[in-house]
Amino acid sequence: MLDSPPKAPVRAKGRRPAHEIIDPDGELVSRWQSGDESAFETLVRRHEQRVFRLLYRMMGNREEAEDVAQEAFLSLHRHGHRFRREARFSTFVYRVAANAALNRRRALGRNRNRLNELKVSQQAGFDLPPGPRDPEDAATGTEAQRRVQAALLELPDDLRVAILLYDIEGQSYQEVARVLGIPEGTVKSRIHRARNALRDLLRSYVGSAAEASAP
Amino acid sequence: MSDHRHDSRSHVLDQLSDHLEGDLSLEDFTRVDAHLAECSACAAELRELRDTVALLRDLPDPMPPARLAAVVMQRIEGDRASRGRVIELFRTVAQPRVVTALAAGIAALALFSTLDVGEGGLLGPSSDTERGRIALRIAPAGVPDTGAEIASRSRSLPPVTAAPGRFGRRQPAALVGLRRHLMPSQPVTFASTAPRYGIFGSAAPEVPMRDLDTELEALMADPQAFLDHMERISASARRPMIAPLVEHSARRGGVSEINRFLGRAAMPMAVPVSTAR
Repeated sequence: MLDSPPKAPVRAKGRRPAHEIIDPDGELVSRWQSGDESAFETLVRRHEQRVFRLLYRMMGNREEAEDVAQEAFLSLHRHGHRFRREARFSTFVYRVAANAALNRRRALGRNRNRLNELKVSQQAGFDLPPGPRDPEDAATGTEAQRRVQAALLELPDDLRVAILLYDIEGQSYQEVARVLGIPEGTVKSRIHRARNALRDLLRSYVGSAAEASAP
Repeated sequence: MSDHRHDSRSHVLDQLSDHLEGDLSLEDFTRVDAHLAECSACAAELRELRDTVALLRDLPDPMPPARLAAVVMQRIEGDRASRGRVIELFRTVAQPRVVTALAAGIAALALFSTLDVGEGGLLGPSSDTERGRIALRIAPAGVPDTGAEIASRSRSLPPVTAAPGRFGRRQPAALVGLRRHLMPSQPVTFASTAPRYGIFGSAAPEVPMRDLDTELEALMADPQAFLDHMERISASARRPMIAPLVEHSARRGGVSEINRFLGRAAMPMAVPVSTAR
């Protein structure tokens, strides 16, 4: 996992923070908002790994992830003046990236297509659709990892982004709630549903893997 | 299994994810643990869930593209330059007395060389039986960039047949809009179910597509709103395509030069790529 900044101070719902949030990006953000474009470039470099990781897992291939990552950072640059330091900058970055991914997914109409693919694959007797066809993608992981990625792509977007932010990006429930702009209870529910759905999708594989590794 | 046991299992299953995270009260944790100790099915569910989460967290980190930051900064610089040129130009020309002329200029600019479409009728189905082919009338280089002049000269040009080219269905769609504006008295039909794209359309999902009719009407009706729309597009387009057009319009270059500019844009429209008769 990337550098994990200190947890945001717990605060009562609806109240303003009692003190300013300690943000490791704070100084760079100040410089950027004062007009220093080199500070923004540094921020991009600092966050590109986590943004790309999230988008890669959201979109399922490098090409889309790269394209959306560019859009996300451009959007971040355009809307940077909206960042009010009520949360860490990384949360803002995740929010912009998640929105960019969800917008792209919506534009591509992938949900409907994926559902259709799932139905077809289930009717054909397969638990999962084939893994990514991009040779570069295929080379990035084991069979297990490709199956997990394929299963992730079967999840509805709102569940997938929640579980990625929590289980891959290591964000807390509270941070995921801020990123997605939804209540913490909804975040927990989505993560719970996403995990169960993944378990169901991977059940035969997880079961066989467990049996194979049993003494 | 008794009802009590069934209820207990159902309740525990809902809490397995929280149990994994240690996100249960001590009381609930103790109760779930006690159930797991005596229920092998639930214990198996927990193991599967734990294995699933482990697989998920074990996914490797994909490496971001090496030049991602550099490309982003280049695009920011490009967008800034494009936006500046677009806004400056439109602020200059969006005076009431020139708005109408500008509308015609934009139409001509977008149309470039392709005023008349279809050999048998302006935009009716082409006599060419090859599916997807349309006939275009190509204006020569050097035609001035004013709508009236291009329209006038192009009407007298001999027709030239051109394939739709690599821009596919967008090309006739853009032409239809332009054609309607330049020759409103002529009926326009086009046997295509393709969505209509405007030359000011944006690939950015947050900016809705607008066809040329809409763009030109908007320009004439409310110059300021049009400027705002242009600014939004210019700011969010995945690749700036407006700037070369406007820049060219300002410099009043020829058709070949427009095509050269458009050839560099990401989503050029209404540009014939073949003029073989």
